[in-house]
Amino acid sequence: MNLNLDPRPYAVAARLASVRRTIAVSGFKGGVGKSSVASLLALASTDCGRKTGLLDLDFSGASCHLILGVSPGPGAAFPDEIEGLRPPEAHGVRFMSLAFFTQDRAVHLRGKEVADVVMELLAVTNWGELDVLYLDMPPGISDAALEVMRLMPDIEVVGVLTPSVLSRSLAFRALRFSEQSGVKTAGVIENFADDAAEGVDTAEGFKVLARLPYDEGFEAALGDVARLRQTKPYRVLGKAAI
Amino acid sequence: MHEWALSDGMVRAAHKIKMERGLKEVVSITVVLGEVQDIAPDIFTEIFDEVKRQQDGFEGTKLVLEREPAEFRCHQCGEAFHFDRGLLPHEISENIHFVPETLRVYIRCPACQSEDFEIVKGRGIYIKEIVGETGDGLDADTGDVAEGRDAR
Repeated sequence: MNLNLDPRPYAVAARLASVRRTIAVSGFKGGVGKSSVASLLALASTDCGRKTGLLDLDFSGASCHLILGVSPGPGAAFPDEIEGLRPPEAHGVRFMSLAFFTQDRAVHLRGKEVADVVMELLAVTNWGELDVLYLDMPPGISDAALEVMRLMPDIEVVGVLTPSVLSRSLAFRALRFSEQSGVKTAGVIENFADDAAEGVDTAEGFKVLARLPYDEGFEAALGDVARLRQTKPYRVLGKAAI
Repeated sequence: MHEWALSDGMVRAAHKIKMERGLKEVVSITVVLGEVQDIAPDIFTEIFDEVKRQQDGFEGTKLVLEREPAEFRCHQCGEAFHFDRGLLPHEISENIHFVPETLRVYIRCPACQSEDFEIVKGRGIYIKEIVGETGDGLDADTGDVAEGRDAR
């Protein structure tokens, strides 16, 4: 009888054994600034002196490397083969992305393949000791999200939303779904926040962790970490220490 | 090495089965290495001999490796095809070695040039068989006496 037993799920827990906290930054609706928030959270965390990792799981829209100014590929930033793959550091953040292996080209994956890539990266990435690992999740409750929830049941979700009723409605529904699946919600971050909501500390029962004001200089700061650290969203997240 | 993490997962998986089956020791593990991931058998064996020391009951475990050729099927036109890894530049071959699904970025269906195809066989590694000593001569899986061995 052929066992046909995949060894990778057994490697995942071992690779994450020295990671104290994992936060899945989820957007649910495209265009809410999830990848920017995940990247800024990772930067703010490492700037606070915490050992920090960032894993970009938004395979079809990988963009954390662009936000952090990382040029992926051999000869530039690339993981080292040390008891798995040791992620390169980007401004102090241990950073892993599928973009390292696609030479920054678009990759189209179907359901099972998405789950396979999630598992492969979790099984072979040697994070070492981390205080916090941020996951830049794909939009919505997709195959990748479900696979992460299966393989990493101890994650905490941070939902990123905007003042838009569409973003909020979808985010709250998705957060309730993940809570019903046993995944804890740390809270929500409101991006492009308007002043009207200032001082409100919960939204639909979820804790509001931060409200990030719109910064017209943000687009020009993408890829330049020194400038990102001067932006309004970074300064808010730096104080929030999520 | 990247293979270290996969070998570690393999030994952990085998250890779980050893505990479930009540095996005293694991005699052999048969592992299939898919052509797409292209894990070098000699390197994998060397790493396995190091990693297996982390678990009890694996001291004498023999690693049996089998190669599985790659087979692809195009989602667009249904063409079944293979690939010649030797034609790929080293850097691309390394990327596929680390994450086999990236193959879809680098090769196309020879019939319709689509990049939308399925890896039917030969993707990565999996455990095909684990043979262990039960100590009392009983094969716990079938109830048959199997020379003191439990094979799954």
